[in-house]
Amino acid sequence: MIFRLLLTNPGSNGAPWSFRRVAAVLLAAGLAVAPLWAQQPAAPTNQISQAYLEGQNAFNNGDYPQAIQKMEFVIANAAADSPLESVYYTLGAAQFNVRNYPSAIDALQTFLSKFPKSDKAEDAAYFLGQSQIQLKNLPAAAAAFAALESKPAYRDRVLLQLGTAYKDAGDTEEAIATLKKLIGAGLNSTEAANGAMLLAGLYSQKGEFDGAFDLLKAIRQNSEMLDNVVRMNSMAIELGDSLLKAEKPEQALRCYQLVQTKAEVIRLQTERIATMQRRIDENLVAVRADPGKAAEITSANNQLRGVIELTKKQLADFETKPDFEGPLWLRVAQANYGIDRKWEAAAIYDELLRRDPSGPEREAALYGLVVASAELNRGAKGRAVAEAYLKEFSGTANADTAGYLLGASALQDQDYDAAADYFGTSLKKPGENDYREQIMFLLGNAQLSGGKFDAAVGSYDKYLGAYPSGSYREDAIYRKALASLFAGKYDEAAKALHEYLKAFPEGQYGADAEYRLAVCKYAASDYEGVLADTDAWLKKFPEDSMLGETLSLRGDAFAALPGKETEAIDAYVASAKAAKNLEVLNHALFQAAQLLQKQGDWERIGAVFTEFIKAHPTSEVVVPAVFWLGKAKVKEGKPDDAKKIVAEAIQKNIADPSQAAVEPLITQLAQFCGKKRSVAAANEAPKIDPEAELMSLLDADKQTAPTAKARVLYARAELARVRKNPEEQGRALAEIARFKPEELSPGLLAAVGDSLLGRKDYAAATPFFQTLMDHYPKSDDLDFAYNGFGEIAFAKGDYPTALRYFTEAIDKAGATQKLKDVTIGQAKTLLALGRLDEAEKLFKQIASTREWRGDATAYSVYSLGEIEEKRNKLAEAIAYYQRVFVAYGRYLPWVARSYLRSAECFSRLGKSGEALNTYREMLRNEKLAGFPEFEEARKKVEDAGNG
Amino acid sequence: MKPLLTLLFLGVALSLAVAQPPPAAGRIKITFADGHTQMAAGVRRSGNTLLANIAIAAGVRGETGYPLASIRGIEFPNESQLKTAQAALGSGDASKALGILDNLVSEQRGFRTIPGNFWAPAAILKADALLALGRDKEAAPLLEQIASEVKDPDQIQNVRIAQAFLSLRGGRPDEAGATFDKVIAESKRPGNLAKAWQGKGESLLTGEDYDGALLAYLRVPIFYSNETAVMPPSLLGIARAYEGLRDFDRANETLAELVKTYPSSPEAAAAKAETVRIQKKANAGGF
Repeated sequence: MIFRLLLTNPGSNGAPWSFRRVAAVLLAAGLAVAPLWAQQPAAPTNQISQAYLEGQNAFNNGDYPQAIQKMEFVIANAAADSPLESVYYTLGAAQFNVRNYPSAIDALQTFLSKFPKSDKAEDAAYFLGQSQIQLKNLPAAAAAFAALESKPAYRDRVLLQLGTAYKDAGDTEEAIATLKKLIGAGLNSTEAANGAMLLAGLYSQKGEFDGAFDLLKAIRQNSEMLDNVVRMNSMAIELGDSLLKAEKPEQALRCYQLVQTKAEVIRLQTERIATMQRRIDENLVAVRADPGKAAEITSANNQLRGVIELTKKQLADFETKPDFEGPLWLRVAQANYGIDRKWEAAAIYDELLRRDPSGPEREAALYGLVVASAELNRGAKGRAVAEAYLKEFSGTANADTAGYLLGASALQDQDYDAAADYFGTSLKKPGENDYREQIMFLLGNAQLSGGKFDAAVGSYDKYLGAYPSGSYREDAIYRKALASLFAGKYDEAAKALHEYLKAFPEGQYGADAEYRLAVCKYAASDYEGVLADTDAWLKKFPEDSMLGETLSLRGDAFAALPGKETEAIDAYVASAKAAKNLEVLNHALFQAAQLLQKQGDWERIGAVFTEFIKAHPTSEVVVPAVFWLGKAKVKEGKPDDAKKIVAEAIQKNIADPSQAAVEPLITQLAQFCGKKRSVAAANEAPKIDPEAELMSLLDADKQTAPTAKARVLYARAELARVRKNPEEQGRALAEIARFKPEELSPGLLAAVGDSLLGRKDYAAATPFFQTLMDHYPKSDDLDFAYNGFGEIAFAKGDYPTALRYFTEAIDKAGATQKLKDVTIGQAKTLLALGRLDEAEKLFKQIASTREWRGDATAYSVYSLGEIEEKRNKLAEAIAYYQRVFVAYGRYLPWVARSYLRSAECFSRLGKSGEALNTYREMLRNEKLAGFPEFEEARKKVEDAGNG
Repeated sequence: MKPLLTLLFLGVALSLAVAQPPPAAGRIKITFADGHTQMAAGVRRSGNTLLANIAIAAGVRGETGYPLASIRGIEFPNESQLKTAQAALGSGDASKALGILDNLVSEQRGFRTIPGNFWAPAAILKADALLALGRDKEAAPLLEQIASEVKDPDQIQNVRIAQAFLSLRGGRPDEAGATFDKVIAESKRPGNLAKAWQGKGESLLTGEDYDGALLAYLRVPIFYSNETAVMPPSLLGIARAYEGLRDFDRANETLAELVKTYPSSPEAAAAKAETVRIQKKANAGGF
């Protein structure tokens, strides 16, 4: 390293200064003039002076060996008392510049001892310290620098150099202490800012991330002090990475947030260059004002120009480097993911993919989005991302995970068929798969949950074959037994359950397995066996979570045995008390109620439900319990008590649309109020207007919330229905249709939507069905929405969509209330699609379902005729049509159509007489006079007459 | 530069100004095509002439006319009011912003063909203020006018964004969404991108695509957090999207952040009511 200037700071990265300016300074100070040599020099005075001047010139020309030689000559030949201040100084400087640090130290120490008050003493001490650093003699360097720490011109420089030296020497503690001293006065110099960077690095190395982060934050706030912002960015990223690795994502994120963008770095560096250029310009102005400062300012400006060049070079390098923001954002996303900000992570990955769809971060960003989407249960969107990843990056290390997540996401979304497909596809791919074991097991789970029980048994068998000691062995054996059980293969299930119990006598599913064994016996009608098994079970697992189920099964077994109704009731009541899930609770409670009803024990029904409501005031089953309680009170001859109980239950939740069970209670209350009293009771009691009573019980006038108001209208509609007043019912429902869909409960949405659907007002019905579907996906009324959308699509002629909705009404919504409608919907859509065999099967099913007998039957028989007609089997078609007007004469629209179709079939068969008779028979039925088919028949008959 | 018109004394000039748009006043710097400059206490436009109120002699001021073709540009002293209006709008005080912008827009309208005018940004900001106040019927024609006059791509995008918000409110979320997508694809300006992402979030939220809405809204705090005017509506949107996804905890957490960080924004007031509603929804248990 070569010393150049002392006037200005050439760099602040801990590098020592140049010594070249020494000569200039000495000359400027007049020291270069030949000193007055000693009285009796060893050599002639002119020779000494000549050597001195030659030495100075050599130094100024960078010929340091020559300078050393000349200065040593002067020292050797000058008398002992000669004033050799500048000679020793120049000698020390020259030795330093040729890196002969021991000699430099000798010369500078001699200088300092002989001329301690020289104005160059501080410079000499500074170079002395640096020479010691070069020799790695750090205590001596510290000693040389000690006096300079109090000098503002040197303080930051020497502390930075010393701190750097300690760090390089591996003395971390000393380095930290020195650098802490350096930044103690604030980050108000480039050396301090650079020292802070160094210190942050040391803290990071020691794992003191908080200290490192605090420093980086302070540096970020003073980044104009840095000579290289890029370095700070790198350090922030490195520190963030260390923190991420140390599983401290929150701190890592804070570090990444300190990184300046490429645009910011370019702006800062450009501004820095501009500032330095302004300083040069100002210096030039200063020279014009005071030419005496020319030498000093020229040096300063040269120095500034050097730094500008360096900065420009750094900037040019930086600008050509690839953009670091993509990789940085990946890290930010990862940190967000780590602190459970998965949506934020997904947004970042998504944005990276949008900004640079084919960039180098694509694979990582897409994979990150796959993982985050799986965690966030993004459903179809998440799966689309995973599919895209697998399509593009099937050969990458992350492909197995993506494939696994794809299936797992589908499983989580309860799309079991898709999950099974994904898992199946993953397993078919050649090569190693890190998730093979999990995938084989989950394939069985997907099939089991999807009702593909035989396939599930096969998959579990395959899993157990491939991984006989696998992690999921116990689960696989047990689930295999469940699959057989759910498939109704009770013998196989029992065998598998025994196998499980034998293999895992202390297994986690022991209680469940023994309960299921009893279920198998129940299926085999071995009720005594069930009772024996459940008795043993109750003794063995008295606290188990399956207690409710087991007691319920016991109840079922007792109920199946003659004369054991009371025992069954007791078992059901005990089950209801122990039940841990709603299904069991419902079953037990209402089985008990039915048996008690059979026994006519309304008092006990009242007691059971009163006790239940008291014990579980917030249970979902409270509403049906109130329903039963109300019924019991009526049976006990206490209708007013019943009304009060039901009305109170309604009032509690009348304004809350999410409380779906209010509507059945309203229906019950409307029934109580609308029921005709016996003549005796009517004579005894004062005449009460049912509607006034109903409104009073509901406090109708006091209801202000939209949902409550809508429910009051629903009560009117229900009362009108009970009183067989469809016009009033329609009016009330039409009024409810004026409310915003989000103000209505699932029951109201279903009722209003259905009412509008009945009026073929599809546009008005749509928002109600949509809200029902979106806001209440688990509602018991959901099948109204599927049916509604199916009918709307059918009306528009969009048969594939219609068929999808009708099918999903059964598959997804369970079609608890609309099974008849959606089955008809499926059948008529299949007919419209020309899928005659499938349509025929369904229409036959409808026509043969006793519970649906009526309009649906007439429609189905008529449609079966249509199917035959489409097959050109006209005789068979006529038979169906005739069955309609013979057997289902009450259902006039179908009768009218059937007559017409039948006559047309006869015509097509060339049997014009039969056709005419059919028309005439139709015209004899006056009830059909209002139908358009009637007019058509009349015309046909007239035409035949004219002909 | 020779005055085009005879010098008029101030009193006359004022009487002439009555039927004209309001003059710009203050220390106005006019730069002519030949490079020389002239300070004026006020300027107004009359046809193709700029009338400048300048010092004629010591203590005497009068109005001088210059052909517009001779003017390279004008520096208006009140451009800083734009920032004041922007800050008011950012803090939710759209009425205050509109008060400032009404004057600026009508003052600048006369100069909108002269370099240095800031009619377009002021008019765009005014449209934003009108939208914020729900005065869509006034915003729509103003936006039409701006769209027909501006050529700067950023300003055109700004107008498009505001018009998309109008479409959104008019019940046309798909149309609005398409515009927001276009801006997102084309713009590099953080302000426009932030607004477009917020708008996209809004259009997706309208369609109850909570997942998509959340990912759109989140762009604003993650990538454009310096766009403070867009932050409150975005945070409110984020909370609503979380609610739609039934993540009530994060919905409330976001609302709390909105109230804490932007307490005086109108969205903060809405957030307080939303918090109560969402809390109630979160607590709703079985019957």
